[in-house]
Amino acid sequence: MGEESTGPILGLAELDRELAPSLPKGWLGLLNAPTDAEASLLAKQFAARASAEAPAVFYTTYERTEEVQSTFRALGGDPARLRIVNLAEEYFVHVLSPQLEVSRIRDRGLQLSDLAHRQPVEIAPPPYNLTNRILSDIAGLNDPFRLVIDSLDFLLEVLDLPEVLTIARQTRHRAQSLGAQTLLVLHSEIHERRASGLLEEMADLVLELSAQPEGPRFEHRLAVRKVRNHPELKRTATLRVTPNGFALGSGGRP
Amino acid sequence: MVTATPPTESRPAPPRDRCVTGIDGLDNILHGGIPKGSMVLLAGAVGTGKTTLSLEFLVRGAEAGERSLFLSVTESSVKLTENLSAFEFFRHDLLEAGSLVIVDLPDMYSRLGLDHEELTTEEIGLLTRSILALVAETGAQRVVLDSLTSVGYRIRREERIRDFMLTLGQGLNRLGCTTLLVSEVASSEGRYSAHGVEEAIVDGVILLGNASRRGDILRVLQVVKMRGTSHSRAQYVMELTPIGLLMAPHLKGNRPEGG
Repeated sequence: MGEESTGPILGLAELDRELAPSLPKGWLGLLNAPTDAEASLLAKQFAARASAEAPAVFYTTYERTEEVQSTFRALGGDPARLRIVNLAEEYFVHVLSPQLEVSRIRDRGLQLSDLAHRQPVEIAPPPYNLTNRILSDIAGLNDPFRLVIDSLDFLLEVLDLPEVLTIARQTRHRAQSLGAQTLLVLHSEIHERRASGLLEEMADLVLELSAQPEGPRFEHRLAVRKVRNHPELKRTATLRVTPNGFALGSGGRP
Repeated sequence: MVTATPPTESRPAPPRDRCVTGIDGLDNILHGGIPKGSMVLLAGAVGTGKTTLSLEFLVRGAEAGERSLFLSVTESSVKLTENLSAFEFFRHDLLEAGSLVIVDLPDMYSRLGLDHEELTTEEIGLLTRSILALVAETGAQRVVLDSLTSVGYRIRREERIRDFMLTLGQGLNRLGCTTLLVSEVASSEGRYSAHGVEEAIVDGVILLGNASRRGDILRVLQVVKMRGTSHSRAQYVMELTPIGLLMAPHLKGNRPEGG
């Protein structure tokens, strides 16, 4: 076994203490959850445990940047240690917005004014490539980091599976090189089993968050489904929802 | 009730209105100009003067009060305008007044979302409608597409190129446009277009080429086909001068190289 991971994993004290010694220094985690289980909150809680030595990079695909920042602060994170890459906004600006414009022009017919004052074609920027965008960003990370992609669902929606796997593989490789911690969020019951299976195979840590109705409330449970080379660490835990995010339920054990 | 049809006499068709190109010599070759509403293929190899002839055709038209539209695929409007500035016949005020409009077709592709390499039938229809909409909006009576070959590369299939040209031609004719479609052909090909179907659809073919004379390469022009008018089929030497194109009969004994 190589050097072990340091620092809090998820901000779930007892669980973190159990997992930290068994995870390699640089690791890739996969957080599976149905859409109603608030996996995004747990992912932000993970990011909020960033340190000055290992700041957080948070790729968001659905939320506004301000919402991520606000939740990050509420979870006790230091905004100075967080960099948000809003892939949803970028995708809208570079892909969806031009598509809307194309639809508008196609619908009402092209006019000369649509072509006036346009940037000469010779200096037009290259088309937006989401895969390259993420990979170049990850390649630019040179120090230990704590990285979240929230979520892979969006990538699987707009990219082919091999491209998403490449992003995950490169992220893992970068994490291993720099001793970084990464968490990829994947909502279950959306994708083909093959996609989640391949991602789980690649991950060093697989977590599953769920929410089940329990009387008038929902009870959140976290299952540790896989810790690479440590089957003895598979377990489940009940979580409480607190103003500071998720915490382990009474006793920390089911 | 049966209406008696008056007896018809066999008369020659009335002469068609002409689009006087304004290019020195070419109108004489065409016995007065291109029949209005025609779609003409302007074929030739690289450097034979296709773009210059097209632009002079438009500038002369704009000067005469006929609005003109240049659809450029290969060169940007900025570069074209710079190149045009070298000719005395070019007037910037025609651009400013909107009498001469230059449109970058790649820009049009982008605005219409035609970003992939091969256009579908639906997209070809969209492109055709959009070109006709621009012609209608600008009120253009002279149109140049430079080049049909480049557009053809994105249409690819012969039957689709045929449909594109037929639909475009009919639309432009209805709008009263006289159109030049630039066709890029290698001098060794001995044909007028990339796919070979284009020359069958158009009303006319003007071929530009090169000929050697005592070690010099001359540009030559020949009207191969022009429906609706008689015309000379002789080869003419075409000279690009600052004041525009000049034509002179090509003396026999010169060996043609192009077209």
